[in-house]
Amino acid sequence: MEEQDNDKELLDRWLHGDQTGYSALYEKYKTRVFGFLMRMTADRDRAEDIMQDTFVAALRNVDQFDRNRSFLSWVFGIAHKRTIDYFRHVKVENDHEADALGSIGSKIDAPDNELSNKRLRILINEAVDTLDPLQREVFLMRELGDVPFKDIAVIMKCPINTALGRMRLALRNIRKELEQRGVYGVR
Amino acid sequence: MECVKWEETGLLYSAKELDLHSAREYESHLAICSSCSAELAAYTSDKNQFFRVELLADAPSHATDAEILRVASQPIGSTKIGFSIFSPFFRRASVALMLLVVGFGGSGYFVYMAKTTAASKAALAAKTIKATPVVAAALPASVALVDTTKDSIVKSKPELTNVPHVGNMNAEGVITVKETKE
Repeated sequence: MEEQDNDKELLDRWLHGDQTGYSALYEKYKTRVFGFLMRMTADRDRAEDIMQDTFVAALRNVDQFDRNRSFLSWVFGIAHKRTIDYFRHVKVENDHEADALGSIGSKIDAPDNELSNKRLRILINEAVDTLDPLQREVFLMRELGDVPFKDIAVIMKCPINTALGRMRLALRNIRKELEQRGVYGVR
Repeated sequence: MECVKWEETGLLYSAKELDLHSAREYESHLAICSSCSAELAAYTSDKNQFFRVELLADAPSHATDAEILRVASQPIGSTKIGFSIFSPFFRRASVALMLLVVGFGGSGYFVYMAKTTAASKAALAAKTIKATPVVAAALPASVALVDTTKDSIVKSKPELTNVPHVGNMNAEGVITVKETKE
């Protein structure tokens, strides 16, 4: 709640002509939103394009922002719409998925007791890449965007139970993938 | 076996989205359900180890940062029109506009051509039926020939005197030939 108030204060600063308000919001959330777009599109150039679209759309439609919601949830909602447009207009090649599936178990020869952040990052993102797009989206909105399930349901136009079901499956599948890579349980 | 309450309530509980009463209820359930407590423990552990923002997040390029901050630095009203022509939005809007113009222009042209052709064919057919042949040799040089394939326009009035055969045009543009006695 405190976080939300802080975001609204930054937004108000921008609305009152202080340009640092929006810059601060952008700096605060850019890596989360971009991480979401990267995982969803698996294409850096496309993710950069959608990133621009998303934040510029947020600027232009700031009057539509519901102040009872969190700013990040709102931006994730815009990013979701832009991602849907991307999937509608671009035929996503299956090569990426095949590559990801083919790489299971090949990245790590022997599990380390202490995995570096870099290796963990590769592993978790490979596991996320193997998820069904709908499960992936719910998972990323929840874990990267802290978007509440009720908002995820609104954004994805589905009942909240569907969103919860996708999250449960996403968690189970990620765990399975990590187990296959021999890292699950390594603490 | 996984307890159904994990999906229905446990995930909401872990996201702190339950009201106080429901949260207390689920905590009571956790005390007696080994499946739910195991799920919650596993999720909390995964969240701490794998689902960290620094592992899942990514940084956009400096060019993207610069473009977004450039738009944000403009006065609020001007952001609606003051965007770069290189922005993805502008690029896509331009392509969409061009496609619209080409699409509508092209289809409009074909519709116009189809209508024009049909109308001219109909007019030609009507005139062919109505018009009576004019004996060109019988008309003096001052009388213009009437082209029945086009509009029936008589460019000069025919001289009727001392002409063995003359064509008179009535109000409908139909020329009739009369034989006159010398």
